[in-house]
Amino acid sequence: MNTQELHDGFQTELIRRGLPADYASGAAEELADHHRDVVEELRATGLDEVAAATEAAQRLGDRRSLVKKSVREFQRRHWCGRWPLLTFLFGPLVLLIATWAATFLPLVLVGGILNAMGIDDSSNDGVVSTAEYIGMWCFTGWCVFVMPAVVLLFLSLRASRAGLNWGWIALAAVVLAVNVGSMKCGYVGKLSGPEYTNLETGEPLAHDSFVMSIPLLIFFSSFRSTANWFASNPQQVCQLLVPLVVAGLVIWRSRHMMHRWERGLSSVC
Amino acid sequence: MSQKRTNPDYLNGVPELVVLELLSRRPMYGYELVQAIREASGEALAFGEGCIYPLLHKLAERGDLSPRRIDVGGRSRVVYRVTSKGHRQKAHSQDQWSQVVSAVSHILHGGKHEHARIA
Repeated sequence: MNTQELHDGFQTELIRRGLPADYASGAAEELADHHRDVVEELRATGLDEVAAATEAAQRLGDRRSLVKKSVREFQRRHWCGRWPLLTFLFGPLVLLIATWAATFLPLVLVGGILNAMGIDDSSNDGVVSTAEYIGMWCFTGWCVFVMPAVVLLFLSLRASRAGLNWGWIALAAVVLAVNVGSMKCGYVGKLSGPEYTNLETGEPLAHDSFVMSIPLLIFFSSFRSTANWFASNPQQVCQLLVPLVVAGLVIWRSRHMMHRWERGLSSVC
Repeated sequence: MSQKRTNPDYLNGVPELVVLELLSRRPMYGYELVQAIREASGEALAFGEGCIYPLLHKLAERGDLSPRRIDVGGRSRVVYRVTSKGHRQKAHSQDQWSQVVSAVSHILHGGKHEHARIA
């Protein structure tokens, strides 16, 4: 194996494992310099070019093991690389709750200030205006569609910077999908909202009531009831799908970029 | 039978100390450093030479080393030098290493545990 082959092979492998191109390029350059030095050293002892290159590659060590060490070292630089399970299993929910709080608390604050100033638009006249519907649906959409997507994009960015593979992004997406998808929220009887029943009486809830329900999966008695819970209305199915679709797009894009980079490299060679 | 080219597990952390010590004597690039380790250890420390780079990158990331690409002998090289933080880290690691060596040596040369003597 000559120096250029070693350089390209090492660089490609690092990028394939998710490391940034500039880091991979620098690391491969250093290793190639070292290989060149060892070849020169061996050539000075009388070895021919091919034998010197082979011996030099052996002295550098097994390439797979070198790649593994380099990837691990790079990942350990980042918190999420040191604690991937913690970050991508529990992180999505913690971040989602934090973003909800960050959205909700300013609204409460503004509402409180308006109330204190005597400007109260939430008069309970029993009629929900179109503007109120739109406002509430925007808020709901923000919480169950936009925020999970933002959280997933943020985690994907962290995973990408730490050189972690797509499996961690997929894990975060599944955690978000299961949890956000299990939430039932919306206005009863409006905008194809789900049918809700009072848990105690079993009677359908009155129209115009806003419902938000976070079930505990442990109470699901069977696979069928679990599937029914998740697929009971289109909004909820979308809630389930959004994180999965976002993750799919992120993973597809990163793999597409990698293939494009590889094609570029092979055309240069 | 070929000899295994790895070091025992108890040498964890030692390569960092060795690298910091040798680089504190003078700045070097990877190949030079490997040669220096070989010479200084009488070839007792065996390793795949490429393994030095993840270690150098880790120390550089931690701020113990400062890498700089400069021309050496007509070729561009990444030369590493120890920072002031690296010097402090080296002193700390050296103290720890001395304590470990002293304790293990004490045990190997027949030192007894205090409690055992009381009993």
